[in-house]
Amino acid sequence: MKRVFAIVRKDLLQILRNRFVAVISVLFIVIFAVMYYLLPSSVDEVFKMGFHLEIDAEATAEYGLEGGEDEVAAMLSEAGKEEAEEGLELVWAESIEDLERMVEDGEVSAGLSFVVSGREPDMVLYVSSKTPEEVTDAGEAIGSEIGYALIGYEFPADFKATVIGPDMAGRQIPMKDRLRVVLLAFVFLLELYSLGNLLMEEIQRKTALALLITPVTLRDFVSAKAITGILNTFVLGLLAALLLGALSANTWFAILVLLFLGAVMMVGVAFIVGALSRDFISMAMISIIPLVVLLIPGFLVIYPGFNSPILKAIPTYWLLEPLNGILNYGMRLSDYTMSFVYLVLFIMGFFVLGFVILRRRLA
Amino acid sequence: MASETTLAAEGIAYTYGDILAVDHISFQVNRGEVLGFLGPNGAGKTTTLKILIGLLAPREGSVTILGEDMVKNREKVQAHIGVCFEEKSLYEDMSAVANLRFFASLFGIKDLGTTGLLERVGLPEDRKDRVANYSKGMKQRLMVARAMVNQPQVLFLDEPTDGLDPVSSEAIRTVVQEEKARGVTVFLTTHDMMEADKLSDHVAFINEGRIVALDTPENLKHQYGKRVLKIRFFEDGELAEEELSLEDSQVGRRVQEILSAYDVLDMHTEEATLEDIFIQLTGKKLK
Repeated sequence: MKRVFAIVRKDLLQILRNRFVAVISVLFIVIFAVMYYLLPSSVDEVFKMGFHLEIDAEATAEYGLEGGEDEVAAMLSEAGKEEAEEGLELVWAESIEDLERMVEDGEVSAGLSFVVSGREPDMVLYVSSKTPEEVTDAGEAIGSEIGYALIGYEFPADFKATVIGPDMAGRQIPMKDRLRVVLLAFVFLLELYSLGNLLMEEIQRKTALALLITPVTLRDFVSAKAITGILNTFVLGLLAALLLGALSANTWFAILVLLFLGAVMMVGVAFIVGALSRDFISMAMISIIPLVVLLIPGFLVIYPGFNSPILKAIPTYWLLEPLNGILNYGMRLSDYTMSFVYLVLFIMGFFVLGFVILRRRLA
Repeated sequence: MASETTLAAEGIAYTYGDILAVDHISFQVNRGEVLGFLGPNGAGKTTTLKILIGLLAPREGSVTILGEDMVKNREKVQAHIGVCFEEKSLYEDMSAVANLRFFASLFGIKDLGTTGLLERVGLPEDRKDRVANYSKGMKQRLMVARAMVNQPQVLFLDEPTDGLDPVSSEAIRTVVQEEKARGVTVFLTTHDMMEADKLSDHVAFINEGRIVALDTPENLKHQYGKRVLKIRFFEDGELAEEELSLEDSQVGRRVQEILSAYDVLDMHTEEATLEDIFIQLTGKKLK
């Protein structure tokens, strides 16, 4: 371990001496913090709302809906166009299950179902745990309005609001707070440059080989780089979290755990980037791809309707989704057990791949 | 000096895909001896060196250093060897002292006295400067100093004087001779025939992955070279030159004839160089 820590000490000094890395690491964090405090705390959101409609023949006759389900659908579509101008987009769902899935996956911010079967009409608003209370209220009002428009008097159904997942209604999250997740993701991704650059230089300048002809083993070398990368990213992430007010009495432990896991994941990616790079330019080019892809899940917190199942294939989704939930919606670590399983699997995958590529490069 | 074998290669072979880079070569070097390892680019020198220092495991054969198998006890062996690559593998944003101390720490050496080491390679004044500001020769001298931080018993030097100024080259040659005198075994790859001739106890010629000759420089010259006497003289006002083999029994009589008949400008003996012998053996030049 003495050899490993000797390399770590040297690496940390090298990172501090590297002006480029120092600038992108510290300066960016300060810029992020300034951005955070300059952003407005007000909220201005556009929501997608899902609709599902089922009307049988008996109900059609009962309420005088002569055109049946098709006519009602056409009326709702027309109403949807008007609502779109006011910031509400209507999305049709084939079934209640489909509507629930759309809400759960974040494709829509809320879903409204009309099931008019026989004499027992049913109107349910489905919302996710992250849907603000204003949307629930608006959904109820919209439902009543639509019902009134259809039959000419108040729709004879109790309005029900069903929360999919833990109920977190009642919170409006200002954009600046949502942005904290993206800013922290940026800090993680800066590590791609920092450790990637360090590794690339070790390989290109053959100093890695010079180390490997001393009693330093490849395992020592990789361990030292991993420790350096994790320490560097974790400390920078912690600094950013402090500046962005992301650490509170309730969240500090969960945030530290996520910062650590994020740092470990980025080290794995940096291994791959550093091992594949021939020089600084190629490193910058190669790292753009993971940089952009891994940052995408960060934007789901800015645009909730942006959420899609494809995002789950991006490793950082499993890091940023819990970070968002814990930072902005008061969720707990235990609410994200499966996220941690996926996160650990992705981290292991990155490390194994990075180690294999690194070993091939050094050979 | 006891003739104790400190470095031995036994039938080592290495392939890159279908290409046989090192073809079952064997040699041994005793304590305090210098083996000059000579060959053109692509002959297998670097691959052999990488096998010897444990960066590559041979596909066949074995390497024994200080009585230990390099593959099985790599870490243990590497604690006692020093390696100086041709390429400058230094931390350029660190000083010479910081470079040496860092590498010493990897060998578990605390408080390395760097001044003496840097004086030996002629860098005492520049020890606190960033290595990035060093000339090529200074960097190479620092590489040699770094190879010696652990006081190695076997020193591997890969083209240590290639492209250097005469001062830097001489400083490195002096270090090699001092280490040899200290009992260190030196494995030296070089293109410089004069250097190999001057420093090596034995030289090995490697070509296409195989050792084509291995002996002392003197024996190689004796075995493969021809000793001649060159005489330049004026014949009818024109400069003429005659080359006489010293192996020829009639050489004395012919010299007497020339001396008595012509105005001799100069005459001197010549013996084959290692370069001549290498060309004779392989049909190739070293560079």
